Amino acid sequence: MLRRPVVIFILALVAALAGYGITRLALRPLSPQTGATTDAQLAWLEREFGLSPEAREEVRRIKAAYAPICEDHCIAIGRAEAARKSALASGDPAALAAADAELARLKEVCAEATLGHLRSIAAHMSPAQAQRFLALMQSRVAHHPGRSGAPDLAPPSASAP
Amino acid sequence: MHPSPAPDPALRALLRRADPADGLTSPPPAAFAAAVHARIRSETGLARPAPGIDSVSVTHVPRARALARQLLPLAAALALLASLGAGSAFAYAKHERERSERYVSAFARSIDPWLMHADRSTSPATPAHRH
Repeated sequence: MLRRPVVIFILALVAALAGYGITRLALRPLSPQTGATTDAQLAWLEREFGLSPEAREEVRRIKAAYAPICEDHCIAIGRAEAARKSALASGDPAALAAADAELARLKEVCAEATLGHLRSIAAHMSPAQAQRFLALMQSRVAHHPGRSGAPDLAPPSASAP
Repeated sequence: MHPSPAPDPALRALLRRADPADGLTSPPPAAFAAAVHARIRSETGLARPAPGIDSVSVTHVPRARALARQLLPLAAALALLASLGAGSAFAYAKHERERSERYVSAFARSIDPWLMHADRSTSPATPAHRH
């Protein structure tokens, strides 16, 4: 009498695994470039956070306006890291301290700029979606307290070759 | 009339073997009824009802079991379909979570100069920031 329910349970488990496997095979695999373009990111924002078409275009303008600022910061970070590497190589403590101070300053500037950019995008969402967007993105950007997703960009230590 | 003499024990034993009713006493009515009912149940195959169950419940139990046996295949089919659906739903939800995570990561990399710099440092041939 007990055997029949056990057989049904095992068959149900097999059916669940089959459903999982068939669905995973049927779904298109994610490419490494998923979301790499601005259009793809805007489409995701629109879908995920309920942006209106006008809000989407406004966010596109905000991103386009922020891009040069982001690029300048990226170049400044590259220069500061190169200066630190050469200071480490030369063994000059004053140059090393100056390079570390510059990197710390850039961290602060970039964190503020990134947060401001996120807030300007969130301003075009409903309050609930904006809160969700900020909570999601703030944990992903570098040098933000509670960041969890992106790799850390800590400067190379003095002991590193 | 002369009283009959005491019967011979051997004769009495002989008479007892000839007459099975000899020495039997009449049982009380309740015990007799219980014995008759037990005899009827054993001959008809009906199970003894549990205390507190009336005759109506006794006939409903076999019907409930028969109904359960009839519905078991349908329940099994529904359970299998539900499991198939649950497995598919779980796979789809996992795929959507992974997709969402990719977009979040790509968006973060497009606005954070530190992440952008890290991408360029590790893979200078593939710029992470596109317009």
